[in-house]
Amino acid sequence: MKPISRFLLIIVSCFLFGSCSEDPNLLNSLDTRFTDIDIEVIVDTLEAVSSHSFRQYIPMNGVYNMLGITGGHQAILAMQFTQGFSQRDTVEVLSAQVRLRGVTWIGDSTGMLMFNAHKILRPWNSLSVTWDSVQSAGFYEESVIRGTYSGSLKSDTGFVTFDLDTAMVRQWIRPSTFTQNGIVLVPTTGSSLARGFTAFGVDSVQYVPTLTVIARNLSGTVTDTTEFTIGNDTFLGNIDNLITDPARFYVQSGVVYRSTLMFDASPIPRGAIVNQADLILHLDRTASKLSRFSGDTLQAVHIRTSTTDSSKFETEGAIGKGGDNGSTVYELRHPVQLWVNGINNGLLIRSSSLLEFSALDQFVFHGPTSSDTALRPKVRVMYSIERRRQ
Amino acid sequence: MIRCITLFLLFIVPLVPATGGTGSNYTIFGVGDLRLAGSPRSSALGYAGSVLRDGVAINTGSPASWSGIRETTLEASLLHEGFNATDGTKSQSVSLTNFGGAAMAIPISTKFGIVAVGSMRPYSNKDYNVFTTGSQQGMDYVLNHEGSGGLGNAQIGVSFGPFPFIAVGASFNYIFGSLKSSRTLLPASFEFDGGKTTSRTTTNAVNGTFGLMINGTGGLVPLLDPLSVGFTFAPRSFLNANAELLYEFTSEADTAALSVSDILLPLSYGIGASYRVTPRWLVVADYYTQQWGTSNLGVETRDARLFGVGIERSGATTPGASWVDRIALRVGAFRHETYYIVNGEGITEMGLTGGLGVPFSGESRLTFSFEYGDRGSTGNNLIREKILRFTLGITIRELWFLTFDEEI
Repeated sequence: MKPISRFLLIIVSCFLFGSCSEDPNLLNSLDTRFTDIDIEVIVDTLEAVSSHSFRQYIPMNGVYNMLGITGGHQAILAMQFTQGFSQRDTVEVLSAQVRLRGVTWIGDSTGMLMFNAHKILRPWNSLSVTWDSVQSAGFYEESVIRGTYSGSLKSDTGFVTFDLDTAMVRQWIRPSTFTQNGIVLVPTTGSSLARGFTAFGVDSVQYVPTLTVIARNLSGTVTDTTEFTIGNDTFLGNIDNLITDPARFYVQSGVVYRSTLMFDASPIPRGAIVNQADLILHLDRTASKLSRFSGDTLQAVHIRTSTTDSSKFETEGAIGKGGDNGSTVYELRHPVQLWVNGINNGLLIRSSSLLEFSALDQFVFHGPTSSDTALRPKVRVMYSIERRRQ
Repeated sequence: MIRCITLFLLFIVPLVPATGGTGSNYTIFGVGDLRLAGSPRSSALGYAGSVLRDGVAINTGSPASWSGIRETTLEASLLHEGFNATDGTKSQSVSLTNFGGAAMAIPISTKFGIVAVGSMRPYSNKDYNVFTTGSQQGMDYVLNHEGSGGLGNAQIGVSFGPFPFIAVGASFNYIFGSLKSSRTLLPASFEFDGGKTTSRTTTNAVNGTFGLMINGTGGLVPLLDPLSVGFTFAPRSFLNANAELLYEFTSEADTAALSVSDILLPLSYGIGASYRVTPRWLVVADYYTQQWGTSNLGVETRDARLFGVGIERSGATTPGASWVDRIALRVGAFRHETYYIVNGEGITEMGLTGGLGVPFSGESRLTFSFEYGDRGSTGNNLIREKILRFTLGITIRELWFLTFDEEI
């Protein structure tokens, strides 16, 4: 080996030896207190500056369909049996009976449920039909009653059955260019509660809405019974004049009513890291109207993505949980961090999806102008800011 | 072969990023550690040797010294630093390797000592990774401070040495770079969100370096003829700074422009001397200072001062000399009063240096320099660092682009 090569080998070896080093981490990091910047953690409370409640008719298509009248609430049920009809032109329908499984209720539990069935005249879709579209003239055959029900259930759950007009059902099974659009169940004024019925698609086959048809051939020699259990359904609810107290804001399932809340986050400096943020709301239990089947914290708080269009919000929201002094607390780190970053379109508060599309629960919260300041909406926030060491 | 190596060093080595680990925790302050060595040779001589006009190396800190370069010279280096730091209870070893610099000198006129030099060298280096812990408002957390980047100096200049006993030089310096520092807040519990704040400051400035060198007395005082003295000076300038803040939170990110003042790059000057005791033995000493005490880095600073002395035994140049005898040997020592003031205490580094200039082809050399330094203390919430620096350089001298002045 030439001297230069030997020399280089030694040098390179030294170089490699000197390269041994550790990856700095918390365990081996030195206890240096001379870093130029530290953080200061601050706890603050933001007060709501405004709220606004509004009604927005949206499609329901939930797991339960409400039907009935309670207080100012009204819910009608639309359903259409779509599959399983064997097309026969030589039958007469002896009977047609619909069976619904009641699983929830709101209102007077001992009250009557009364409704009429009408034929729907226009095609509809449970994903798009809303209260106002059903109210438009010509949606259903208002003048002709195709079935009726009046009764009450002795317990929380039970079946409701009613007969349908056999002439109408015969049309459904007769081959022709006729298109059946199903029926709408409209509560009548004698109703004093609204019941929630399982919808098509329920896990238990025995609880699925069922149409039982008994038919006989024209010669009268064969009679058969057929059950139809596949279809579309939804309900459509409404309440007028819900917003009565400007010091409250309203969250109503089944219609729906939603509310916006606005906070001023300007006290938090830009760049602050929001470590923790909770929205605290107080429910006005007297003004609220809740069923025994829903929790009083089942609301969702979403980030609004537009200040002008209330229908635009981030789909992922925070669900409430019980807080101190009867409050409901919602985890709000992400929204508040956005506010700090300068994007503050406010919050949207709605019933959680479990309720909003399947119930008529009504939550009324103390708003920013509530006379009791302790009950006003507030955000308790903990954030960190950088401070240059002195 | 030599040309291939040269091209490699010139174009590839500058692209080598900092690799592995981190550097000193002290670089959390200001613009980081200053790179004060004008050449790998200077590193080995205790950061002295600014007045050496023998053409062996390109000392980028001393433009007047370039006038002694008589062949096209290319120089490039890598710098490896290892830090063993302790706070008195725990210790930590980290290291990093960085581009050490590259320079090219082209003699325009050997008769008049006109030499053009272009170089690219680091001006400062910032590279740290520090963890601190804390607890506030019921939140236990770790704060990770990280920093990287530094300033570089692209230099172009010329020397003029019409007489053997005097030379002057000047360079135009474009100082630029980016300083990045971040703090990552890591709460101990998932109940809390953390985040990361990164500030990135890009800077640039122009300034100049001026040098004057006097070599001997022209025979007037024979005893002082082996003595060379020199002076370098760089006026103050301002680093035009633009800063941006990047916030990375758990669920989103944000950016904001950061209003920052231009950074004062303070005036600096240095004086140096060398004495050639015999044709092969040389003694050098330098003093350099930069008035960081007047700067506006946002932290307490003081003027940086560097004292260095060194001795060199030059390699034999006589025909037939053995390869070993042709190796230049260098030793030195330095005291560097850094501009850092931490917890009210100035941080001073003292060190010993050594090095070799190993011939490998003609007048080309591989240059090795080693430094062992010590700075800081374990008192006053400071840390003490033992520093090992190793510089590997290559100096190639070729008769490229050379025009010989015709004898009249």
